[in-house]
Amino acid sequence: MSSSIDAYVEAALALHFPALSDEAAARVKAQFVRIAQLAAPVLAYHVDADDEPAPVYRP
Amino acid sequence: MTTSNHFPYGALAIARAYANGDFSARELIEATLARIDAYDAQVNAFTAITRERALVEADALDARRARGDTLPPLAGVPFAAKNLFDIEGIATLAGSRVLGNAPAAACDAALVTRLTGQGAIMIGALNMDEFAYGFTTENHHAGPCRNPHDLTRSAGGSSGGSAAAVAAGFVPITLGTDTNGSVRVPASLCGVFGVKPTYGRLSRHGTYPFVASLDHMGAFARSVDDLAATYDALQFADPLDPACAQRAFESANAKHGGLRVARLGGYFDEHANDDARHASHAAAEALGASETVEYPDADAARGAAFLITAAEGGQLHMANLRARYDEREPLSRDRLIAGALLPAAWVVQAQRVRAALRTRVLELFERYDVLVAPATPMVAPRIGDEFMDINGERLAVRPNLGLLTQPVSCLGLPVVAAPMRTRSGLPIAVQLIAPPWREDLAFEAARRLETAQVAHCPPPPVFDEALLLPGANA
Repeated sequence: MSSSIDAYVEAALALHFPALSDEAAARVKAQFVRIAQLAAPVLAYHVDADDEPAPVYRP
Repeated sequence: MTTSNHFPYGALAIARAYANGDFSARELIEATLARIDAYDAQVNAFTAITRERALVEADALDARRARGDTLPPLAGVPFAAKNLFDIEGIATLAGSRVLGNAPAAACDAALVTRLTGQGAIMIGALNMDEFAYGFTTENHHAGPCRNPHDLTRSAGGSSGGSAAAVAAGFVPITLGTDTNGSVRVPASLCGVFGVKPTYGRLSRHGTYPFVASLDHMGAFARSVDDLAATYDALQFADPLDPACAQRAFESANAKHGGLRVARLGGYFDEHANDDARHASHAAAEALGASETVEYPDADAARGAAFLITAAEGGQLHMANLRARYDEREPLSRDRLIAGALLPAAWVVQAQRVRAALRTRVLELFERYDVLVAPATPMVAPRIGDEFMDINGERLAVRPNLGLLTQPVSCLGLPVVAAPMRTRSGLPIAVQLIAPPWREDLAFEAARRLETAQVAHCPPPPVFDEALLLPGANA
């Protein structure tokens, strides 16, 4: 997982933040790993085909 | 309770005394400014003081009173706003150096206008985490906002200055915002009441945005009555905010009989230390709650909030993260860039999970009017602390102080944060969580806790005179 995250973040940084220093890129990778850990229960949550996104949320 | 200058601390008490002719607005505002001048160097709640404006507004109010005009409900009440609210004549910094050269705001934010329209007097702008991304107000540009009850500790964030200014007795009410807990976390750590209404209840017009899907406006006060009066004054259906609900005014002060209350267990106990759990139990017991229930998939709700925040916040700031990285807050810039890189599939999944969880939490509210949970996992950490220990788990402080608030705001539910006592003497708040658009239920629960003296806003501290700035005159 971490090697695939490394590869993903490096590719995404090359696209979006090509001038970022190596030191900053390492910190961004660490942050991405933390976010990925918090994403796990979200990505594991079953949604049905008719569960639509809530981009503008109206309770 | 009165200040050393014999002015009341509470907003409604000030308005009543002013209407009664006990003092002039100029006298009150001069005393308010003198207290801030003397002691805010110790707290660092304010980033700008609108001195001239405040005195002009005070004189105008005194003139109205002298003419015998009917006074509005908050006449004379000093207030201040987190520095992401537009305040006419000063730049809206949103806690950031990169906006330092922005032109002064041409007019007030909608909610500032609401309060001044009710007779309240603008005193200044308040410290915050850069662009509202943080829970500790350790701002490297403005300096950290310190907790008035222990100056070595954090005031919480991101509306840290807003909570600290009320806790310190500088002003009785303030405006803040809450995307993931930025009203409730500082209310908890500073020991004041705070309200984060239903998503879409209060207008965001004229504020610097953070996460459009999750940004809520809110307020702080020292009592439930002051907070309710402020919240009621802020309500209106604003067509200039696309998320603002087109609803009629619904008072915080509706009368109620019995409240059906449950305490949230599971996730909310597992991520709370002894102080936080005791507060939750004490509040639930005082409200007659006998059941402990589970919030639906709280970890997924928290994760969804985190993903949406990182992605929307990261995207919002991409251009200046590229161009002005070195000027951005070191505590949040790398997290924002990581957020800007998130796969679209993760973010869309988060929005779908959010909608699915909304249905499930509404089912819970068929059985209960109010749910009780701690607002923070612990009392205020020391400024600079990197980690906290919660039930044997070592967690980074800065991204995790809001882990009990994020699942709730993810679903847009209204919350009143009510401050409680702890054994350590430092405050901590409970969240009183109600169904969408039923802020009145959360206010009712808070009022019952306050009446029973279970909820408690500690008195403002006695500041150390030895630390007065040269020339300051309290």
